[in-house]
This record gives sequence, structure tokens and C-alpha cells, in this order.
Amino acid sequence: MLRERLRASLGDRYDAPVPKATESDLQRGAELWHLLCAGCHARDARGRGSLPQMLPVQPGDLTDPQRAAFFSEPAQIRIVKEGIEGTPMFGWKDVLEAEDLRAVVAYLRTLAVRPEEGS
Amino acid sequence: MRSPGKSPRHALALVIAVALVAPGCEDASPPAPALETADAHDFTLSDQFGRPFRLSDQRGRLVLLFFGYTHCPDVCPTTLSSWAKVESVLGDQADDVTFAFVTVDPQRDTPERLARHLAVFSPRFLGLSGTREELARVYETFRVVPERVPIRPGAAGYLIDHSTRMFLIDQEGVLKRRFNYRKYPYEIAGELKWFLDEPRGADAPKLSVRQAWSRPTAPGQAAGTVAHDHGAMSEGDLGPGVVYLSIVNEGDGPDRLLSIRSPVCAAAELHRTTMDGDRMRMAQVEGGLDIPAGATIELSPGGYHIMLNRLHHDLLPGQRFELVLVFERAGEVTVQSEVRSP
Repeated sequence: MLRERLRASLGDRYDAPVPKATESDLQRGAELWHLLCAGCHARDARGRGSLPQMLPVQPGDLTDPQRAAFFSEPAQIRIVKEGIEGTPMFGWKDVLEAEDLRAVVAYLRTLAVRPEEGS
Repeated sequence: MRSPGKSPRHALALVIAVALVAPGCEDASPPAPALETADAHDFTLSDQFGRPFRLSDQRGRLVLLFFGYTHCPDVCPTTLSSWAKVESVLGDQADDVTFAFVTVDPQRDTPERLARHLAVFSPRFLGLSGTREELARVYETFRVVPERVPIRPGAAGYLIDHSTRMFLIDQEGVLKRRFNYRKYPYEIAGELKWFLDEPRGADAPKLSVRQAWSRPTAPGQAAGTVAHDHGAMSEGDLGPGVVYLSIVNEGDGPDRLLSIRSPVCAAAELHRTTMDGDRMRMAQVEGGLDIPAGATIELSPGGYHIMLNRLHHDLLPGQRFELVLVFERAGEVTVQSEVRSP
């Protein structure tokens, strides 16, 4: 299972706190999301749209709070960095630096908060 | 791909462009190469398994070619997903198609990465790469202009603007079609099937029969016993049915038409009309009809024609029926003859 593999791989870092994202981080994360991720995950991260539906493994709804809570933030950063083997989700480590990886995930986690929950 | 690095101050403009063109992409290539002659676009690269890939070695197969890279966030996964659908629609016919993905990012697209990425979409897809010089020649041939674009100003990470077209090369090595990556997979599959359904390439017969047509018979004629007496008469008065067509021999050697048959009649024969003074005479051709190499033999009014004796039914305008021509070398060639007036 992916989460267990990530736990084993990250060890103590799985639940390590991640520095709180600044507004600047979130803005950069949003730009990178729309540039790099939205094609497959859709702009709203719900995984709907023509390309997401064509992919051999279709992305899920990343705005689902339960799904968002399933992985720790360091684990999500690792997924974006290394990808998920056997799926079209490849790793972005050759494109994104560490701060960009954190920014994308920080922005993505803001999408998982439903409006009614955030109010 | 269009990076915000190219227009960082115009995020809104970027969003609009993205919506109109593709998610973060545009076709940055100049006009595509013309549809040219066989092997005009030949190249040699290596696939993800280290095997040499030469385009001209694909003779007898269809080749679908695309230029992209594995870090592409939109056009390339769209194209690969589309190919997977095309492959599924084609079924067994996909065995005769080479799906070739040429990288525009050789630095990051190692053979291992290409193998891992393409396998997600289909084990059949080939990922091609080569030296900078080899790739540059291929890009030039297909007029692909990859351009590195940083993901933001000063960043080491980059995307690549590149052509979004895919190319279809037929079984004889001729570039036949260019598709936009947004063309529906069913449409692409339909185009491919057109090429796959007809035998072409090295194994295709070199002898073909074209434009077969027949005169309609008079109502009730088929039930009659109108004899063809080989005497003086005009073709318009023929009792039996008559078929005209062209035989084209594009092979290296001669062939010979030996016999003809059709389910619409009891006997089909090759006849020839000749002029005896001012009298038109018709006679059966004995010993077959020679079809020299490179020749086109026309069976047309006033010359050779096929007689359909003892028709089982009338031949009415608009009908089509099967005709089988048996050749000495090419074997049986089946055509559909259309019934129409001259």
C-alpha cells in the first residue's frame, strides 16, 4: 500500500511538521499547479475533464478532505517529487526544487478545505 | 508548452491562452513538412530498450509518430492516452501499427524513464531518442522546434515548447497524414483502419482490377435464352451481361488473365470486339489475356469485354455484383462491378 511504503521510506519524517506556507508560497503553488498539474488533475483538482477521463489511471478528487487527510503533508510532497509507479503520475523532482514541491502541496491542501468547512 | 516565464506579468492573458489553446501548451512549430515520397523522412534512432529504430525498416507497417517528452504536463499525456484508445479500437489490427514517441527532451528522457512512462499507457509504444545530432536531423525533417522554457524566471526546472502534431506514415514509407493532438481517438483509428484494411506495402499484390462496371440488362432478359452467336451485332444488343474494367499490372513480371466467374451467371467469358470492314464482330478470346509488366489493359466498349452468359437475374442500374478474375500469377482478384449505363 502506498501510504505504508511512504511511511517506511520517510520514517520519522512522515509526520514531521512542514513550515507554514506564506501567501507568496501559496501564490507560487497555484501558478505551478495550473502549469504542471491541472492538465491531468483539472484546475479545481477534482480530476474531471477530457484528459483526466482519458488517462489509463484516472486521478481522484484531491479536494476530498478525507483523501487529503489520508497522507501527511511530507508524504504528499514525496508523491509529487517521486511520482506513483505504474500510473501516469510521474515525479517532478527534475523540474521542481524543494521549495516548489512544498508550495504545490501547500496550495493543493488549501483546495481540500470545503468552503463550508473553512467558514 | 507555454511557460509563464515567457509572460510572467500577464497571468490573466496566460489563463486565456491556456483555455483557448490547450492546458499550458501551444503548437510552436512552423508549418508541417509536405506529404512527400517514400522514405523522404527516414531516420535512425534508438528505442527505450536500446534497439535501433530505423523508420524505413517499418515498411509494411503503419507508423504513428509524435514528438514529445515525459515531463510534459498536458499535450503528451493527452496524445499517449489517445493512442491507447486508438490501440484499443483497432484491436488485432494494432499489431500492424508502430506507435513511436520521439523525445524532445533527451537530457531527462533516459531510456529507463521512457520505458517506465510509456509502459503506463501501453507496452507497445516505443520511446525513441538518440544523440543530439541524430535528434536534430529528425526534428529538422519533421519541422519540430523544441524550445526550453523555464517554469519561472531563473528556475532550473523547465518545460519544452514543441509541436503538437502527430504524423501517419503508411506501409510504403510515405508521410500521409498529420493530426492535431486533439483529434478524437475514434477518428484517428478510422484513418488508420483505412490504411490497414487494404493490403499495401511490399506484400501487396502488384496487379489490380479497377473501375468494373456493367451495362444493365433489359427487364426479363435474364430469364430468356438469348444466345450470343458471335455473329454480327452491336454490343448494345448483347443478350448476356457485359462487364468492362481496367487491369493494372504494377509488378515486375507479366501476368495472364486465365478465367472469370461471377455468382450472377452460369459462365463468364472474355470476348473481344473487332471490326471486319464496317461490320463489328465479337469472338471469345482463347488462351487468356496477357497483362505485360507495367501495362494497363482496358476492357472497354469496342474492345475486350467480359460476357456474362446465362444470367441468373437481371442486372439493374445501381446494383453491384461480385466478379472474380483468375490470374496466372496474382491468383484470384475479386472486384465489385457496378451496373450502370455508359
